[in-house]
Amino acid sequence: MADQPPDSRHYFDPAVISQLKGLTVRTRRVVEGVMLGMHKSPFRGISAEFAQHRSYVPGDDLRHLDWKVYAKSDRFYVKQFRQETSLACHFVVDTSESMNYAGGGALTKFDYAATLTASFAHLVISQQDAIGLTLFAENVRTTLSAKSTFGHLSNMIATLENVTATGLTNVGGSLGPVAGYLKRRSLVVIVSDFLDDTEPFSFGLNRLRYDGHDVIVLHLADPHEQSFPFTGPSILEGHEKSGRLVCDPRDLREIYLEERKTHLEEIQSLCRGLHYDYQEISTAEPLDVALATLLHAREALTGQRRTAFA
Amino acid sequence: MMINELLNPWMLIALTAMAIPLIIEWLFRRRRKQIPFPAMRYLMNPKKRRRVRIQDLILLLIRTVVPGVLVIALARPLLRPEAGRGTDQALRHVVIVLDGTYSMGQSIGQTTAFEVGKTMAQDIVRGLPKDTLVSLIYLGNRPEVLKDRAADRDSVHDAISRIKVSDMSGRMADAVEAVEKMLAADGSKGSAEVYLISDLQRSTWSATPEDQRDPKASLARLARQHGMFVLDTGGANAFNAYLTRFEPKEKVTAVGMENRYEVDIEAKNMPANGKLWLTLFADEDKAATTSPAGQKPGKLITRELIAADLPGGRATIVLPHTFVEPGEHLLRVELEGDGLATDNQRYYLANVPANVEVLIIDPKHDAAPTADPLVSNSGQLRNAIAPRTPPGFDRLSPFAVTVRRSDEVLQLNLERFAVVVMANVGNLSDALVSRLEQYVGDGGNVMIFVGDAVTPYEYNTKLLKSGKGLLPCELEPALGLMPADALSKMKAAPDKAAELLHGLAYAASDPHPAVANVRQMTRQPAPPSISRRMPFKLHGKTGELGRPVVYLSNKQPLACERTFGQGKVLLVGTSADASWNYLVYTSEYLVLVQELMRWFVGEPDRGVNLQIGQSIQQPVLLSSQYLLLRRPDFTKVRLAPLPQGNLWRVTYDQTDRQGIYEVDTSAEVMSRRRFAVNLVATEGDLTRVEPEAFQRELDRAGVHYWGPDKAIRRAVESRHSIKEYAWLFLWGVLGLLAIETLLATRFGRRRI
Repeated sequence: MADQPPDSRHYFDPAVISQLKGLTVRTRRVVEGVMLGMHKSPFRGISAEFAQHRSYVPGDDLRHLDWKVYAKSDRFYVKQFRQETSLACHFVVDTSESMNYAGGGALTKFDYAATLTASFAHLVISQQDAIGLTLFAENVRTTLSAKSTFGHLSNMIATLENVTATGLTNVGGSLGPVAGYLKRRSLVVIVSDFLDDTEPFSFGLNRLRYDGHDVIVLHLADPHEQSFPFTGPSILEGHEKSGRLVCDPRDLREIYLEERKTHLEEIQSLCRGLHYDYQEISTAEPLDVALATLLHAREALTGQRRTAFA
Repeated sequence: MMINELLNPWMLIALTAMAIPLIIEWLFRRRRKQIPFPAMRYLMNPKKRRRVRIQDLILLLIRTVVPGVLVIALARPLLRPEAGRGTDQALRHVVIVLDGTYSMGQSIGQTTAFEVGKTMAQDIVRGLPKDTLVSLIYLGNRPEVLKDRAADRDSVHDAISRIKVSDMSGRMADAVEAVEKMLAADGSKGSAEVYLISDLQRSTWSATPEDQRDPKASLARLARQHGMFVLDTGGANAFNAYLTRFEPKEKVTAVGMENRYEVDIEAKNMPANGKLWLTLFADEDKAATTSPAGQKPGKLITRELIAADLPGGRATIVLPHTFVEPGEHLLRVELEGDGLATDNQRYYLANVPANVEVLIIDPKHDAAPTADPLVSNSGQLRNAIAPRTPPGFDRLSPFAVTVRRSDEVLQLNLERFAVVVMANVGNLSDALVSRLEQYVGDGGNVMIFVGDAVTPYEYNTKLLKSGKGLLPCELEPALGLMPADALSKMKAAPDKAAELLHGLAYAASDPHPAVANVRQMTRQPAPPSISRRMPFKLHGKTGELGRPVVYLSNKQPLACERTFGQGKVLLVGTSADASWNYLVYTSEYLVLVQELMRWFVGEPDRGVNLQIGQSIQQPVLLSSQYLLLRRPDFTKVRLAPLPQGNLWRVTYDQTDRQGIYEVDTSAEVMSRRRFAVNLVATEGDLTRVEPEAFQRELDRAGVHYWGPDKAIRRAVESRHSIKEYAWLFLWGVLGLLAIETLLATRFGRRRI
C-alpha cells in the first residue's frame, strides 16, 4: 500500500494521458447522451456529429464557434452537429478491504483502480462524455452522477482520493443499486478484484444488460494474487474476515491457482455471454498499457478509432 | 515369519525418535510468518483443503514411522528358527546317522559315497548353532554311537573325519532303533532332529525275509515328534562286480605242485561293453628279492573278463599257480573295472610245505638202497602216496613218504608227519601204541592196513581197548582166499566170482567225505580185486564205533574211521600190498589212497582263512601273558590266551575289517600267526531303493528327503540359525523414504 495518498495529478500521469489521446471509447449500442463527441446516437443534440455551419446569433454557446472559419473569414459561424447521444461512462469502483492490498505491485489495487479510473474518466471527459462514479464495498458507499465537466472529474478524483478501502466485497449486491441509479444507457466500467461469489455478480450484470448498458469489466489482480508465490511456513491472514490459514503456501499453490482459474473462467464466461468486455489487469502492468489494451480492445469491437489518439 | 527376539532391545528407547517429525511439525508451525492475503476464498474449498490435510497426515505418518523402523533395524530383530530350540531344561539335540556299510565305498564321480556322506555330516555340524548337542551314530555291521550328546563340535568333526567305511553290511533298521533308544532317553525334553545319511541301498533299507523290519515305518514314528531327514549321497545303481570265493581247489599242496585257485565272481548291472580285470598277487608282503627258485613276489596273472565271460552275472575263474618255495604264502586276487572297490579283493593264506610227510611203518622195510620196495608191505602204497613225477611235469602229489620199521618209529618225531600208515604191523609194543595214541590225540592221523601179521586179538586188545583206543572198530578173523587162489578158483567156477573177488563201492547217497570224489575221478570202478579181508564189527558194547568209509561190492565195509583226540584213524580191512588183493594194481587204488591222504590232512589253512565276523582261534604252544594282534586298520589289540582243556588258545571275535590280522609273536608260541579275513559280499548288489517311490513314502511319513545336490549347510543353518532381519528393516527405511519423496513430490510438497 502506498505510504501517501496519491496526488490527484498522478491520476493524470502525462505519460498515460499522451498515450490515451486519439483513442475513443466506443460503445456497441446507441447511448443516449447530450455530450458532443464521436458516438452515434438516434437522437440529435448538441453533442452531435458536425453537420454544417450557420451564422452566429447572440445566445449561442460560444464553445461551438468555429474559430478556424473566423480566422479565415472574419465572420462568426457556429457549428451545427447531428444530434449524438452523449456517452455516460459510469465507473463502479470496488473499495473493499481486499482492494487495499499491494503484494507484488507498486500500488495497491485500489490506488491502481483509482488511477486507472481517473485516467479513463479523463479520457471520457475529453470525449465530452459524462462520467459518473460509484464506490462500493459491501454496499454502495458513494455515487457521483454522470457529468461531463472537468469539474466533475476533479470531484470524482477527490472522491477517489478520500475514500478508504475497507469492508467486504459485494460486487453483485452493489450493481443492483447502480443499475437503478443509472437513468440512461451508459458505459459501466466495473473496476474490482472480484473476490466475491459469481452468482450475485451475474445477477447484477444481467440487470445492467437488461437496462441496455454496456459494461467493461476490469478485473484487478495483484501479481501475488496471480502467482501465489509465497513459500515457507506461513499464516495467511485473510482480508474482509475471510479467515486465517496456517500452511505452507507451496502446498496449496496448486489448489489456489486451480480455484482462481475456475473463478476467473466463470467471470469470463459470464461476461462473454453478455458480450461484455472483460480484462484482467495486473497492478504491475503500466496504466497506459492497461488503458491502451482496453481501448484497443474496445475499438476492435466497434471498428472505429477515436481521434483522441491522433 | 515371527520376530521374537531383539539383539539390542535397549535400542527401543530410541523409538522416542518417532516424535521428532511431530516436534519438527510443531516447530514448523510456530515459526510461520504472517502474510496478509486477500484472496483467501481460493484456499477455502473444504474438499480440497481436506485432501491437503490428508496428504499432510500421510506424509507425517510416513515421516513418523521411518525413525521407528530405523530404530527396530538398529535393535537387530531376530527370527525364531524353524527347528525346535529345545526347552529351558534341555538344549537342542541333533543326531547324525552315517551309513558306513561297505556299499558306501562305491565310486561317485571322483570320490566315494562315504566321503560324500562324511562331507554332508560335516556340513550339518557346521550349520548348527553353538548350543547344540550332537550325537553321531555310525552304521557298520551294527550301529555304533561314536558321540553321544557332544557339546564340543570340534570333537564331532574330528570323529567324522576319522571314521572309515566298514567292510561289513548292516541294516538301517538297526540304526533307526538305536536312534529311537537314544531319543527315548531324552524323554520329553523338546524335539530333536535326526539326519540319516545313506546311499539308500536296497540291501540296507529294504525288508528281507530274514529281517522284516522296515526303517521307514520307524522313521514315520519318530517324525511325529522330531525333525527327520534322510540325506541321499547319490549313486545310480552302479555296476559292481565282487568276489565271493577265493580258495585252492587242492587244499593239500606242496612246493612244486600246481594248484588251481578258484575265484568266484558275481557282477550286477554289468554293461554290455563292460570289462573287468582279475589279477592274482602273491607274497606282496615279502621284499622284492628274487628267491633262490626265481619267483618274484607281486603280480602273477591278470585275466580280462567281458560280459560274455559272466553268463548270468556269475563265473568261476581258475588261476593256476605253483609255489617254488616252502612256507606261508599270502595270495590276493583283485578285481578292477567296477564302481565299488571294497568287495573287489580277497586273500588266501596258504601254508606250502616242501612236502607233506607221510610215515609208513612197515616191518618188512629194507632201508638198503638196492632193496626192492615192492617186496615190503608198503611198496605199492608208497608209490600210490608219492608217485614219481615224470621229468618236465608238475609234481603229482604233495606227499613224501618215509618208511621205517616198527622199532625205528620210537626214535622219530611223529609230529612232522601228517599221516602215519601202519602197513601190516604185528607185534605191537606198548610203547608204539602209546606213542601212536599220543600222536593221534595231538592231531595226527593213522591209517592202518591189515595183513598176515595182524592178529585181530592183538589189535582188538591193544588198539581197540573196548572202544577207547585208536581202532575204529573190532577186527574179526580174516576171510577169503589169497588173490592167486581166488583167481584160480574163479577160473574153475566163474559163477562164484562174486564170492571170491570184490570190488570197491561207496555209499550212493551221503558218501564219506574222504571218498566223495573217488568215483568221479576214476570214472569207472576198478574190477573186483579184493579177495581177502578182515571183517569189522562196527557196533561195540559202548555203541557205534567207527564210521564206514569204503565198502566192498558185497556191501561189507572195507574201511572205517574214527576220531581219536584231535586226530583221525582209518582202518582198512585189507593189505596195503598185493598179498591180499590186486587193488594195489588198479588206478582206483591210486586215487583212493590220494583222496584218503587228503582227507587225513584236511584243510590245514582253514583256520587262517576266515570271513568277517568269524573268530580267530589258534592254540598257543608256549605260555604267554599277552599277545599283540595287529589289525588291517593298523590298530593293535592285546589278546590273552585262555585255557581250553590241556591247551591254551587265543580267540579274537572283532574281525570287522577285511585284510590280514597278524599276531606279533614267534613260531614257537603260535604255529600260525597270520589270518586272512575276507569280506562277506552281501551288499554286492548296489541297486538302490526306487528314488521317487521312496521320496513319496518319506513324504507321507513326514520325513524330509534331501538329495545329493542339496546345499546341506545352508539348509541346516536356515533351520537352526537365528536370522537377523535388520537388513530388511533398513531396506524398509529406504523404501519408506522413497515413498515419502514420491508422495511429497506428487502432492507438490517437494519442490526440486
